[in-house]
Amino acid sequence: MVPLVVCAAAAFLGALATIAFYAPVEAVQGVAQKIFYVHVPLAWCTFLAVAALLAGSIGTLWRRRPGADRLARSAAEVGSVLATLVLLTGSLWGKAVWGTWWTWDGRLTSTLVLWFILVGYVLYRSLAEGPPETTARTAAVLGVIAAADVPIIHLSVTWWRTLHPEPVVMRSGDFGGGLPGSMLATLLVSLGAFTLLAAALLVLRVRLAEVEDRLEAAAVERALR
Amino acid sequence: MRRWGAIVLNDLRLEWRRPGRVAAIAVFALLAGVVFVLASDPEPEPLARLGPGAFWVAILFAGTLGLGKTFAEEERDDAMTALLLSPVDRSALFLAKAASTALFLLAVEVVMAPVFFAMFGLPLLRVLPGLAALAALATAGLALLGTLLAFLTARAAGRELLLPVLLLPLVLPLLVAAARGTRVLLASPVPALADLSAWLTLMAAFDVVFAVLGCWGFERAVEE
Amino acid sequence: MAAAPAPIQPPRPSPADGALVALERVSKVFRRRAALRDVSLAVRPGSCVAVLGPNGAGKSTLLRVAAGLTRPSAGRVLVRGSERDAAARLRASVGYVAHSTLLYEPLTPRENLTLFARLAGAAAPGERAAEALRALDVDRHADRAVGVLSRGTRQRVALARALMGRPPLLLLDEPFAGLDSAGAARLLELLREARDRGAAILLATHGREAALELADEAAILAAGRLRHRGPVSGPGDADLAHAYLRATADAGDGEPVREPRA
Repeated sequence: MVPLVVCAAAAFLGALATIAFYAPVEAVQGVAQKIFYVHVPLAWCTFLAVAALLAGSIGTLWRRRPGADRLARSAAEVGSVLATLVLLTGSLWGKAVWGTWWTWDGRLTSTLVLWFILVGYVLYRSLAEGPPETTARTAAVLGVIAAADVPIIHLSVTWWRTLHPEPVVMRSGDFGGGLPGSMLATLLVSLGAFTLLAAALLVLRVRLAEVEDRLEAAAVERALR
Repeated sequence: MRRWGAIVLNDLRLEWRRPGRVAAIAVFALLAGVVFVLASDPEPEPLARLGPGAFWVAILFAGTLGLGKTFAEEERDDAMTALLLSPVDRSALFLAKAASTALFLLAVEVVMAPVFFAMFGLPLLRVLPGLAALAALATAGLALLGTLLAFLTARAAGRELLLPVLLLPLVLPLLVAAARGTRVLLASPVPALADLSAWLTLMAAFDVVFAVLGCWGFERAVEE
Repeated sequence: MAAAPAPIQPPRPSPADGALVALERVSKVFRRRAALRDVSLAVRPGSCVAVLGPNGAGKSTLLRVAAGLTRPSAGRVLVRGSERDAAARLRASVGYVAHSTLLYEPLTPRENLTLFARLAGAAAPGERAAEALRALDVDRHADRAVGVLSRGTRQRVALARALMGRPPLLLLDEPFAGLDSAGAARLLELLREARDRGAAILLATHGREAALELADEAAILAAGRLRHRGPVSGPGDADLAHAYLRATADAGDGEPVREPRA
């Protein structure tokens, strides 16, 4: 675990340096465009967190593994923090580029809805009463339906309105076709670093969940004595 | 199937014994409409723009209030335990509760729609067939997801608050589709059928996904 | 083709042999409080086990676990000797009485029982419901909402629901609560009939008298632990009375556990 955290910290600093000193200043948007290198990786990590929430929820229902539940509840918490950061960086970027803190563009809106869903899940975990195993199962059901809803929400919001710049990275078919090389390199470095950082956060949170569960188990043990 | 029907009929009978619930929810939905009008401009043009969205928002909010009571009768004297001890498929139980919830919501919609459309100066009769299709799909989806979430939140502290907080973001696709679909219907004498069918398809997909996931999830959530 | 010789099975001497439902070393913890600790208990067809103990001893939890409504924190529940899908296999065959009536309050006893008879798959649910209500002598009240009935009448309706359709397993939590002496006598008669027909009965109560008329075996539960298990010689079983006093006195350390409704 310690090596992972150290690696993540180093990669993060490296990515920041790359963004600050290596990435070129974009002609139209200026320095503000560099938020892109933080915003996009954060959004990517949020989706990874949702995937981890789904995996943990399915594992809980299918195999009754306590570890799967720890993954699910950790992923939801890490995911809601990441989604908050996506919204904040998006808002900053929007202010700099579009001149407004918020606009009801398709992808911003679906990210906002995702934030509500993740926060709702975390609230559910903290408010649910009843035996922990039962809560783990009902929360897993919630996790699965939430994850299944994300693509439907995204589709509906996209149909509802699309103002967002078309995905630049993927546009010309081959990956990175639309970005100059140095920008793409910076983005990739940053993606890697943020993925590592999110993984480290998740691992730390899972460890914490293990401690929580051990305390709970010890309390149960005491009660049975 | 017979058991499924028995549970639905039983729910309808319970509702029939207390007709006040449908009325109260419908009154709440109409009040929401009045609030929308008063918060906006009472001119025909802005009202017509606001109307379709306001109609579905009112149903969503009112429906959420009703959904919190989905399992109220089962909880009061623990009839749920008797249901769970009967040899009834969990899926049948879930679909029965969702069906009776959907019928309840449809009753609310039938009662409030004429007044609501009149308040916003919208022609109800002209769009009725299309609106009925939208309402059927939207109501089914809201009932399916709402029933599952009502069950999941039944044992949480502050459930009255938690249910809407969980439900509203998850049913947004239905709200968007129903509101946009209604606007398409109202926009022209001959509605753009391609646009309308896109929204209908989205809602149908939503309904299928949550019918399947609802049965699957309910079965796993009831076992302790 | 000759059948292969059956493999020789070593005999399995287990107290659960032949039992309809058996709990093996079951523990249940609610919110860090133990409601049951390491309890083993079995009921055979045609027998009645009385579970005795003061309030909060864990009797209700024991019954919920036996009914498959609550999953034990540790230990196993066997239905007809097997753990697989125990709760689901039990579903059609259990008559369960709890502290709550398990009925829809706004509906009448007849409507309630007809519903549950239909859900149980009865061919003529209306008749089955009427018959069950007659057996408990509540047909006079069959058409008034359950919510307005007196406590004793409600208990009779709850019993009628549980006994309806002659389930092979009866799990009865304080079945005599709220009954007058005529009602208690009638219930005793019905339970005796059920047992003689081959039903397995698990009966939890803190009052001993009525239960011991019927029970073949008594189990004393205190603070979630099984303190005594043995045959019952009759209502005036002095040994059992001693055991009960001893068990409840010893258990003074254990705080009663309030069981949440699951």
